[in-house]
Amino acid sequence: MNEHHTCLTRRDFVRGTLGAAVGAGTIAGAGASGQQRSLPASRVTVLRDQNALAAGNKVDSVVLKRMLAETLQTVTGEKSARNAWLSLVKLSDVVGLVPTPHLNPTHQELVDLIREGLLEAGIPRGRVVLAQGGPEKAKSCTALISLPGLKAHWLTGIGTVLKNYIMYSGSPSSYHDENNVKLGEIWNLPHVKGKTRLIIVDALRPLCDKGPQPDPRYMWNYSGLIAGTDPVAVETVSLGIITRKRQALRGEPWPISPPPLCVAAAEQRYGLGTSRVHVDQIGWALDPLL
Amino acid sequence: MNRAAETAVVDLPRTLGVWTRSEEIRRILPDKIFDYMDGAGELYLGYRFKYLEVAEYSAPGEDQILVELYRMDSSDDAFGLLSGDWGGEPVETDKTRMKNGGPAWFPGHRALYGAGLLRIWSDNLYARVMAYRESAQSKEAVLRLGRVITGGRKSAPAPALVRALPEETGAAFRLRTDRFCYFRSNLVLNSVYFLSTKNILDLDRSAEAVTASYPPAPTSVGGRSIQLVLIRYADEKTARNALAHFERVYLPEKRISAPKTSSGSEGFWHIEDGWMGCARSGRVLALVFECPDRTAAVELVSDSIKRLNGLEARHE
Repeated sequence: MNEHHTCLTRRDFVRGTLGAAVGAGTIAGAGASGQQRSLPASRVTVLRDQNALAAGNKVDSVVLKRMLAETLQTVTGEKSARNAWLSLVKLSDVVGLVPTPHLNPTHQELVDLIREGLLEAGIPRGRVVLAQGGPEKAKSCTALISLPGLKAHWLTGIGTVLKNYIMYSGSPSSYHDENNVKLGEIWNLPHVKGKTRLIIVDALRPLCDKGPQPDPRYMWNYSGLIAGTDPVAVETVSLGIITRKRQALRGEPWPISPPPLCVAAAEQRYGLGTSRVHVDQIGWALDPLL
Repeated sequence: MNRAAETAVVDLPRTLGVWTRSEEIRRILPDKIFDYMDGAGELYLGYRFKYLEVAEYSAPGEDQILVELYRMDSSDDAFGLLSGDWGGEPVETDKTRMKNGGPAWFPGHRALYGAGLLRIWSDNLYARVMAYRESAQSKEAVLRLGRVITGGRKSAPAPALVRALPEETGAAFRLRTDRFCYFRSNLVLNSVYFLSTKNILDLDRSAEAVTASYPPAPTSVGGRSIQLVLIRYADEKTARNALAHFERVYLPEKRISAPKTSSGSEGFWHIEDGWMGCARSGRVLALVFECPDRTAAVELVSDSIKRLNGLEARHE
């Protein structure tokens, strides 16, 4: 096959055919098991509290705990955080918490509160584990709670939801460069597929550029949590926030570069969810970027 | 990671006001860069990176200050790392005022500070000094560390390829002096201006390139910016093959190579986002994208090639 059939260019992007090309598996090695589906809109909760970060950007755990409880109840429709957790996981599950360790890492306070919430819901202490790492981490869990930090990424465009499982591939470098479009396939690996019960994006203090290392000029207090069960929907909302923040910072369009091809591929090629989203917006309403 | 106090790039002070440096200065070689910074290492490997030294300063009641000293193969590589983002407050270290060889439009910034992070280009050294939490005290310490890092080091000129950038094209488009990036890697190009998911310009560390943005001049009536990419390859054959590769993938329906000129080839096409053009002369290549008309594309490509040929003639 000629190379112009196996790679995407700026011209595809401008023509608006990038998504179609990604879905059709134009990217070399994108796999052959396309499963485009027509899905109803997914619900994503965006909950913010301007007091979540205190002076010096220190997390106020009391405020964050309240935010987490309300987020869980909104996502699940349950009346308490305990019931919400029990609607997502079983008492017999081994629940893996998957925070982001690098480049704008997930706040430890959020990880701790989620662990505490699961224990309070009755999950035995030994069955709530940290599960970021290689494939064996995912294999040892029956349920996963993904906890990525919200950030742009210089190699993949966005480095939030889909990229959070890159270590589960056992070969993270296989998903660098042009192959980042394949990040969605990791979610379909046998030791990963179907285990993700909830995604909570740490959007307390996101990074909208530039990478590859954190630059505090591009971080701001969004003071929010973004949650849902559909990885494509949650990533779509996350991407929208990053994109709008970039435009607001420069006062002109400032597209993410490279374009985040992995999001369209996750939807159209790997069938992980839908970019059709209904957002439940709760709390602090200043500059929601939604 | 090795201890390397005796051969440290910079003699970092043990104490600085209330801050005390960790005893160990870690040295990280290219083969361990991913252990230190995960995929971020691709950026430094995309330039000619030799090693990194890392030190941390701590103080009671303050968050840490991280010092990263990237020893590069050349001043051009260190410049390239700074050029990825010209934002921030220009800092007057003892070298920052020096334009050192021009060109006239070049602001001459060698260190930029913003929100706790100081980024420095000092000869073949690129440095990041970051206070995890900005305060008046931490800013003072970060800037003092900047002066220590640049002290006694020579002040190298900007890369020759950057000095070749035209300041304007016609009267209608002017170079944005805070939007140009010097690079060698396809990954860096795509992070600034996405062209393709593959390396269709055959870039590698033997090549050098610069991309720059030319918005309409204030006197013009709106419109989009033109994007210029200049590349100098190791030799003419590599440049010729790279242009052929680019045309094959980026302009597949054209099914023609750019017409030959006396020293290379050039061509201009109208595509989805405006006029684009490219020209090769010997081992140098100029490409323009998003031009409003053919004339603008021809002008910027021609002027760029003329300037690049000048560099080659002067062996710069």
